[in-house]
Amino acid sequence: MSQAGSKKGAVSKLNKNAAINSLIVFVVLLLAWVAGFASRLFAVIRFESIIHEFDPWFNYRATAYMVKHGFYNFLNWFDERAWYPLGRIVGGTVYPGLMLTSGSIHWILHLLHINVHIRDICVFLAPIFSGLTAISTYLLTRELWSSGAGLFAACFIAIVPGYISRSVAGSYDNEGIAIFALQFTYFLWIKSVKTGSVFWAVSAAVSYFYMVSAWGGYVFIINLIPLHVFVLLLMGRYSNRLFTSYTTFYILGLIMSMQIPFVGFQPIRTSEHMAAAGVFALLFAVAVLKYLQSMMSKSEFKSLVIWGGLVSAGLVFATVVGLTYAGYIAPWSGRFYSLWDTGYAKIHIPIIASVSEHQPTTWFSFFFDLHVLIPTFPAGLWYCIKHVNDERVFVILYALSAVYFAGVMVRLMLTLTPVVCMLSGVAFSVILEMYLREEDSTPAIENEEEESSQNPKRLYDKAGKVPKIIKHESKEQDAIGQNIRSIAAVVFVLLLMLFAVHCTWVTSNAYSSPSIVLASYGSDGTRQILDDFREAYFWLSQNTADDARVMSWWDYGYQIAGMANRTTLVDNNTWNNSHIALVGKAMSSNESAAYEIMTALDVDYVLVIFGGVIGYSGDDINKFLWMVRIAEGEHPKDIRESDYFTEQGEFRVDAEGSPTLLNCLMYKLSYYRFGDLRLDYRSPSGFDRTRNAVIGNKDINLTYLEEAYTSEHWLVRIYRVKKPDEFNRPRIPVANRVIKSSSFVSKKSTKRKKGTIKNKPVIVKGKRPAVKLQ
Amino acid sequence: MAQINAVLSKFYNDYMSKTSKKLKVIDAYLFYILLTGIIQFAYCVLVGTFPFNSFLSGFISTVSCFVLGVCLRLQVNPENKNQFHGISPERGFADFIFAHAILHLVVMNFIG
Amino acid sequence: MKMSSKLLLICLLVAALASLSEASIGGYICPYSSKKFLDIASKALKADTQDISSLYHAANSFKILNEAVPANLKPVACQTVKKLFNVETLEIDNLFYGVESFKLLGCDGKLSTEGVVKKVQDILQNEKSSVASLHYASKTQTFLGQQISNQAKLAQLVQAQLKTDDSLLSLGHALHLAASLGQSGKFITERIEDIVVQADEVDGKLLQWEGGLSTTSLIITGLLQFPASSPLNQPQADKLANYLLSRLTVQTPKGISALLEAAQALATSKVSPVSISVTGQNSVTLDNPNLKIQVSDIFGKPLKTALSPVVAQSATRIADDVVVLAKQPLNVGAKETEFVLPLKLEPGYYKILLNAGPHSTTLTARVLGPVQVKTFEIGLSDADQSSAPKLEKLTHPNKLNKKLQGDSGQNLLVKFTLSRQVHQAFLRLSSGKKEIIFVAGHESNSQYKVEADLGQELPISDSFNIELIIGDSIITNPFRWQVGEIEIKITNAPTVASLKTLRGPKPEIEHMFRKPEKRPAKAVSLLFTGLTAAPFLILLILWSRIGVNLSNFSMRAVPFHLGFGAILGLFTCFWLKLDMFVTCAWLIPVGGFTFFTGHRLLSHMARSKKPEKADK
Repeated sequence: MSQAGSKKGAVSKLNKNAAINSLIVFVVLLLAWVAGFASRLFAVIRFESIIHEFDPWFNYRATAYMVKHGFYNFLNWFDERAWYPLGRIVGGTVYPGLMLTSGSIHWILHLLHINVHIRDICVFLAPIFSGLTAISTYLLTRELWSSGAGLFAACFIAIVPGYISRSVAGSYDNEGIAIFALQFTYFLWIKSVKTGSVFWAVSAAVSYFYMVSAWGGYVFIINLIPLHVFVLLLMGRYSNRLFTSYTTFYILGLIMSMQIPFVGFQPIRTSEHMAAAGVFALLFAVAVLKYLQSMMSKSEFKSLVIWGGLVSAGLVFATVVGLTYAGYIAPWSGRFYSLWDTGYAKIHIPIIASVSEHQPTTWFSFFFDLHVLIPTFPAGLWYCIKHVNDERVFVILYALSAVYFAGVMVRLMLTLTPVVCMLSGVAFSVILEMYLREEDSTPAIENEEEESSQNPKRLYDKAGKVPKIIKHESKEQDAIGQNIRSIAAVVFVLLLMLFAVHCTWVTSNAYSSPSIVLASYGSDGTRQILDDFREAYFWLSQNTADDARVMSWWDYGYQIAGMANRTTLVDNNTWNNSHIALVGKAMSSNESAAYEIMTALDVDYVLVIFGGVIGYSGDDINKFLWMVRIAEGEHPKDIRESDYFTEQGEFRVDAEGSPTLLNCLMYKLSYYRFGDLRLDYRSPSGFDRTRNAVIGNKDINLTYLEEAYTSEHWLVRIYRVKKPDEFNRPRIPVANRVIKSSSFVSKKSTKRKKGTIKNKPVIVKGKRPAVKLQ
Repeated sequence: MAQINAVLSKFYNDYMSKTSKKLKVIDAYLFYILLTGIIQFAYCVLVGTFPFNSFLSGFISTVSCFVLGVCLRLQVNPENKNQFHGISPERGFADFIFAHAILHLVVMNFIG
Repeated sequence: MKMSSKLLLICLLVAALASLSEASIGGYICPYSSKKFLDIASKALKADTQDISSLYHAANSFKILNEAVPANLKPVACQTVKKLFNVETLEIDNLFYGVESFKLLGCDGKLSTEGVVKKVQDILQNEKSSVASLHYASKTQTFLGQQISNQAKLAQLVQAQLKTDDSLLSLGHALHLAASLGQSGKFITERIEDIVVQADEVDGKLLQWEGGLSTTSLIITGLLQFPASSPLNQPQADKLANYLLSRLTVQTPKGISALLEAAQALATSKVSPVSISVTGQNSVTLDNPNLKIQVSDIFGKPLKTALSPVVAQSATRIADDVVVLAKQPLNVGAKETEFVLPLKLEPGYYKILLNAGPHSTTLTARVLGPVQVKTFEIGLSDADQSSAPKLEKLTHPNKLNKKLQGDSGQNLLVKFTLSRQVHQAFLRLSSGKKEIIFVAGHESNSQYKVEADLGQELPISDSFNIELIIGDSIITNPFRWQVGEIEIKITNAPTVASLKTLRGPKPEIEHMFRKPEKRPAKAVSLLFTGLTAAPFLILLILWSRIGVNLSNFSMRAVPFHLGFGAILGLFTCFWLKLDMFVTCAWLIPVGGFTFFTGHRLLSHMARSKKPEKADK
């Protein structure tokens, strides 16, 4: 109660110092933005302004296409260079929000005659949006708790590694803008719940629409908000405000989300979205009941409710079940199941499990990504539970569900990060308020400012303010000694400093590698840049036919399409499992079986990544078991995972490895000619640095393929698939024979111009008189 | 059964007497939207949903109009004044218009 | 015509098949060649030519072949000679040809030879005259009946000329000239050996001098005018004769005459080559086993001294090198030159070593025999060998009495036995222009088998003729036997189109679009459109019953309603034709205007309401 009283006092105080406060807020947010932007530039400074990783390459390619051909052509874009021979309808299988965002920035800048290349916009889009995320986090936290907590949260989210990992410069991916959309939607939602205004609800729906257009994670919103409403209903916190905001938000969000071609009719067809619809109906029912209740007496109401309630509940349940069985509503998708049961993916969908992002999170990575926020955020959560109201119910639910999902999948750490920042902001705000209180809420704000700007002034300011606190100590009920106060203050400031240092260190070391360009450190500490990927892709683009088809494992599909501009068979958009399994089967079969698959798929080149020379652990041999597993899922007759293990059940590439492994295509392509290579004097020839083993099959001969290119550090190896006339082949049945065309082809070449006569007579010349008689 | 009939008739009388004229206008509008929605639903059940996006846009449009109408009614209703502080009936109407502008832009896009 | 072609065939066979030995030649100027030569010569006589030499050569050929110039050609040819003969314009060689041909043709009248003698004298006196001119001049002089006045001087002249030009052609002319000079011509004998070694040897079989047939002929005839110094030995003569025989295809009168002159010179010399060759066909059948062999000189004439005995030393079967006869004397045949060797042997190729006196040769002959189909079975078997094949027996010339019915799961099975192993045995399936030929596999001991997987081998369903083809070079009756017909149904047949696309661009991939579902009937749609619109009436009715208050409507509200109407109109346009971007661009001004006017209106209303509230 006293808390509320002091809060009211704070509000009046704030009004007085409104100008100063808003200036402080503005400066802090600006500094948070700048700090966040700057710490995301490590990759650009260390390497260059380049698109990172795999998916961003596709996003970049799609954006470039959209900028070149216009939005409507982009929506109808049929990309025949991907998923050969199927092709990919890009417009219908992509979340276009990212491309639209950077496309419109590009358009506006060009309208102002600022000629920026679309690539630079793509590279710097995520850092810029991280600033917007900070602002929306501030707004959201302010709605939830206080302005001070909001500033804390904004500063945290600006530099927290869990978010930076997805938004460094060059990481041009959906998540970069989606987190902003997520936070902003939540802010507008909270705002609309608070006020009950249709306007805020419509804004929330529009923001939700932006989120839908940007990231598949919108499902999180459309489940969390109904959950919030549902929990409020259960807590008996129904109000007309809740009704207006949710119904407006839901119905507008529903029709807007269906505008995205990739989402299509899913919002009314799949189970993931059904909870929202159910809550919508429930809310209506509750509203009707409340209305009736207001109109009638209790007994009348009771009889009506019993009848009406039973009938309507039965009806709703029957329709949902009936529709699901009839197939109108799809059951939960596989990716969703994997959220509930972590073992599900490994058994049923190896392709999902094969991505490292989809592995369960380790404790280590929680600490690595969130550091001090992890221990403090439960404190914030506790404060929220303690002082619960409509909005705080929301953030509690958000925190609980996000923690669960982040534990299931590394990738969803991203959704946890904002709520952790918010709640930690709340916790820090409360703690500092408690220990540094001089006049209500100002200290928190000042501290945040110092925290974010990280200037050396901090300690000086603190020293100046501590004495003030003493004056007001008498006001507080629980007496805390001055020493304890200052010790606590110093400890928390030190913690925050450590956090800032940790964030910078993690960002620069772990999350700023473009993974297209690798760096290695020599014995003397110098940095060497290994540019094998781009070298090989450039070779492909310059030395192969324009319509050449390149087979590789799907990880590299986007890069080949983006950088080498060649047709790929499979890529990172893993929508067709059987096609990927076919490629996996080709990679894990022996050469002749693989050749049949490759000719069936018109493959011209095969690209493999091989890290044995430089010790790069993310190469194809290390991913190979996933290829086998995925292939086994579709072709259990031909591929068996157990064949690739030794009798002891080990996966070994040396002489004791299983013969199936030593003769499969991937092994041969990776280690072709490697047996002759001696890396240094200490190790024998054919020593694989990644797996620390001497390879088992040193004498590899290729019949159906030939080496076309190997990059400098052997990281990328490209092979050409021979045409049928380039090697000996078995008898062809008469029906399949092709008779040579009648057009005559001379066999004379420049080398043998002289004709020869068969059965040339041997002529013994008669003896001529040696000297002419004169 | 008779009890329910009695309840309903009482409810009707209460409604006719207690509800203000402004709210009745909105209620008439809601009734109209409800009827339209029911007819559309009947069409979907009887004939089919072939241009599914067209059907959906039409149906959702009616549902949205209904929802927005209800919201307007709630905000205009003087009884709820305390729940919606800061929202005058005019503000409610402005929001109503704004939401409709957005809604119908989307509906037009979706209807094909 | 038929006769001549047959003769040609024989001639070629004789030349080709008779293998040569050192001591004999394998052919002769056969009657066919002689006839051909005469034809060419006749044509040359008939022709209206400017070249007097061709007339000479034609006439000369007739003479050497002992044929009279046809009477009808004579006057024409004589006329031509007379016309062309002109002392002023013609060179000495053509003058010689003129007078010579006039004589050879036996023309009536006399050639005006007034200036000839003088010209000849000039040439003979002239130190710069070539050997050829001297040769022709001296010949002409001799021909005109005059003695060569100063033989010694002429000899010196020739020798002097030979010092500057000792080409083979000059030497040939010198030989002839020297021969006519008697004692003074002795100088040439020391050069004879020199001339002979200049001959080129081809494959160890032919001997020739550089310069072609005419030079070779000139030298041969010249050399053989010095029998005393025996210029050529027997092997050389044989090789020269072989060369001449290899040139039997010559087409010009000059060539013919040169060839015949040389052949005559060889035949009449001491080293006349002996020709041992097969006459007629070199193949014999079992019915007619006599192989005819001719022993003659190069003209096919009997030798001056008959050679005996003529013995077949041995006959060897080429296939397995078995000697099948030895030392069998040949019977004398119908003609003096003809001998007969009966070959009652197995069919096959044989190499026969023949001796005629000291001369020997190796001939190749073949014996032909008939072949019969002993057994023949045809039928269909299952490709997976699930059931025993059902075969139907057939004897040779008969046809199957019903069509066979096959499909892709079956094999066509044909087994047959021949009386003898043959070189070529095929099974041909044909339908229109399509055909497919299977080679019959040789199982053992003249048994053959064809097993064709219909599904694998045949691309299409069709009705095919079955034909058995048997051929060999040593059978008398190669045949094609129409066995019958087979109807084949290929179930999983690749279409003809796919066969065509093996080359060239691949078919364009057509993407399948989902077919739009059937829309409801127009009447139903219209009905529901009406039904959907109907509640609007209800709304109006209800509103009118409630009593809508329009009194508040003032001019202030007009811009707002206009703006809102414009937005709705814009949406309609968007629905009908505009795209999203254009709509948004329009929406900004229109929406802004509406917002502004709406805001003004509502705030006005709120303000006007407040006092009311205050009143309350």
